[in-house]
Amino acid sequence: MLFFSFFKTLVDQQITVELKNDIEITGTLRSVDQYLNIKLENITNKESIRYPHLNAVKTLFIRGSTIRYVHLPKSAIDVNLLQDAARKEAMVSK
Amino acid sequence: MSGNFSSIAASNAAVNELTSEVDSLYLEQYAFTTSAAIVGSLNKSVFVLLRDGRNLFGILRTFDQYANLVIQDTTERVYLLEEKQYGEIFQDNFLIRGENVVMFGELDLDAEDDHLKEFTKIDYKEANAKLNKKNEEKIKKGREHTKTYLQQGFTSDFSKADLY
Repeated sequence: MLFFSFFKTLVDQQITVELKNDIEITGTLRSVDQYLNIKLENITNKESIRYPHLNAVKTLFIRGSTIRYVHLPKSAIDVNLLQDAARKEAMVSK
Repeated sequence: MSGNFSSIAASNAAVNELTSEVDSLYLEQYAFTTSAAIVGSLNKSVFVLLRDGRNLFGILRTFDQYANLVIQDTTERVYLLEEKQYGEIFQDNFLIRGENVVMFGELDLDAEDDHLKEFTKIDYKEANAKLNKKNEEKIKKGREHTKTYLQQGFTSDFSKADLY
C-alpha cells in the first residue's frame, strides 16, 4: 500500500498519465484509491485526435489497470524518503 | 544460548515497532476510496471508454467499489477518425463490469456535441463494419509485434481484448 500513500501526497499536483495504448493525458490529480485508479480534473489532452470527445470532459476517472506510467513533477517527490519507506515496507513484509 | 534468544526477541521487537510505524502511515479503511472518486459523477452525463474500444454515452446511475457501472439511456458511438465519420446507436441500459472500463468522464453538457461538427454522421452498421476491419488489422499487427518481441526475448503486453 506504499504507493497508494505516496500518490495521496501528490493530490492537487499536475500529472501526466500514460495508458497502455500509448496515449497521454495531463491533468490535476484529484483523487487516487487502493487500486491506483486515478481521477483527474481540468484535463488537457494532446490526444483529442484519437478521442475527440475528451474535449468536453471535465473530470476523468482512469482505471488503474489500464495505466502504464504516471509522469510526476520532480519537485513533488522526495526520493530519499520514498526509498526509505520502500525499504521499511519490504522489511515488514518479510 | 540465552544471548541468541534475547537477540531474536530484540529483532522481533524492532520489526514490531516498524510494523506499527508503517501501519500508522495508512488509512484504516480502503473499501470506499474508489466509491468516493465516482460518487461525484452520479446521475450525470458521462462517457465510458471500454477496453474493446467502444464509446458509451449515458447517465451514470449506479456503481460499486470495482467501478462496475450502470449507465442509463446509453448511446454507443463509433468514431472513424481518418474518415472523419461517426455512427451511433441507442442501446438503452448498460451494466458494465469494472474490469472492462478504461476510463470514464463527466461531460460538459454545453460542449459535449462540439466535436461532432467536424464529423459526418453515417449509418451505425456501416461505421461498425469499418471499425471491425480496422480492429482486425490492429490485431494482426499486434500479433506480429508480439512474435517479434518474443523472438528477441521480450514480452509484449498486447492483448486482442484491448482495442481502445
